[in-house]
Amino acid sequence: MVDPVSRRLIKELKDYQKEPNPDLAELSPVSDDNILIWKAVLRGEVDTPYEGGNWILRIEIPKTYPIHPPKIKFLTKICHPNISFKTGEICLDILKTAWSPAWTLQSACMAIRLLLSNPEPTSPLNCDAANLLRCGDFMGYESLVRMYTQLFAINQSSEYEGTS
Amino acid sequence: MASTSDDIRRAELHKTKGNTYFSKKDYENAIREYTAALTQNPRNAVYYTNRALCYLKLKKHDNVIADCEEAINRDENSVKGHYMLGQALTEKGEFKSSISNLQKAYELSLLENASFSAEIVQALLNARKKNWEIEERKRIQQESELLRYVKNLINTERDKQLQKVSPKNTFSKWVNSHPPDIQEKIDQINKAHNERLSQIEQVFIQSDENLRPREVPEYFLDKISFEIMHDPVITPSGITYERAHLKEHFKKIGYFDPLSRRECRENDLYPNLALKEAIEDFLSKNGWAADY
Repeated sequence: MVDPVSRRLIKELKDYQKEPNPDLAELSPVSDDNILIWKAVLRGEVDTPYEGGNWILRIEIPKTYPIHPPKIKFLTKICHPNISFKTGEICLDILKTAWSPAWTLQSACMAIRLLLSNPEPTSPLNCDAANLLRCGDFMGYESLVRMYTQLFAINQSSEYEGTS
Repeated sequence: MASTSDDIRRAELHKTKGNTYFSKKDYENAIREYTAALTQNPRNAVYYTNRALCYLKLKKHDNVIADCEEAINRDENSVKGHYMLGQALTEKGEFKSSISNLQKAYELSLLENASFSAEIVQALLNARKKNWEIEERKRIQQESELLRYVKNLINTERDKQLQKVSPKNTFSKWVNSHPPDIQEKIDQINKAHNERLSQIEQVFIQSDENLRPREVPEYFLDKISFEIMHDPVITPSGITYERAHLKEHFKKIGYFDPLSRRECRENDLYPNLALKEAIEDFLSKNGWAADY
């Protein structure tokens, strides 16, 4: 018998494959021999400075999933007040205290995508980006984000593939 | 023969050695130690369930059954005894007693707050699914036999009618030399016959397809494991979960409803009987879903 974590993950994988999500270009385990490490590719939202970009996420699933949340971080560099530019770490409550077992890997990725257009500059991991927002310099913020999107997230995805 | 306190101590030593072998996956030697423990103190049910677990790992299901029965004789509330007995019976294809033992194990595990209630539920669902698969195979076979039988009847009926139309001319099948009026009748009979055959085939195909829509309604699935529920319980927020998974959440994270985040304790849970009935009904018609 397969353990409960794998059973649930296989179901999540099937659900994603049955109804592909246009905002999530990819969502699958990195390799066949370890179902606890996944990779996702997030598509930037249209009409935001992230438009056109593809970001690779690395998802690490604890053996106690879904009681405990997955660890998700950006592998592709991204400029965002709540995401560490250096490590890709994400500051998002649902990945920490507000996690609920009814969330899925897919819905967690979609929450991250939503975070991109709804930054929370009061709890920053990227102070430079957050400061621009706090000063009200939206033009400066947007052009900074757009520059990094252009630099790292457009046609660059293959460079980071296979990192695990 | 009663065991002395010396015997009991020696038995415990053998059990400890057996457990060490077991943790190294050396099941043969573990079995030897548990057997030695049992000769010193045959009244201890745990030695039997420990040895049964080794046999289960080695897939010696007859031995599992024998040891679990001994364990249950000594301790009728042995969760592990009922649990492993159920698993071994599933493997032997004896689903009725397997399911009743697993059900008993599940109830006992709740009373004892055992950590593996969820595993027992899984074994239960597995047994139900295997049971259904075998009945399904039987049903399909019976149905195809029935189809063959009905087709034969239709063929015999046509032959009889043809005989009536042209009784003498037994070669009529081979030679197309009938007067036009008789030929017309023959054509009519053949046409009616072909229609009947395709109709009856259609009926059987449809009855098969009725069983096919293989989707489990989402409201039958536990919100934590995404599996079909066996013991659904409802929280004060009105949300339903599988009891064993919700208890695990309580133990590891805290006493609140995982979705509404409102405080919730084990005493606040009520069994969702109507949903349980609906699931039972669904499973009796869609047995494949038990292990969905």
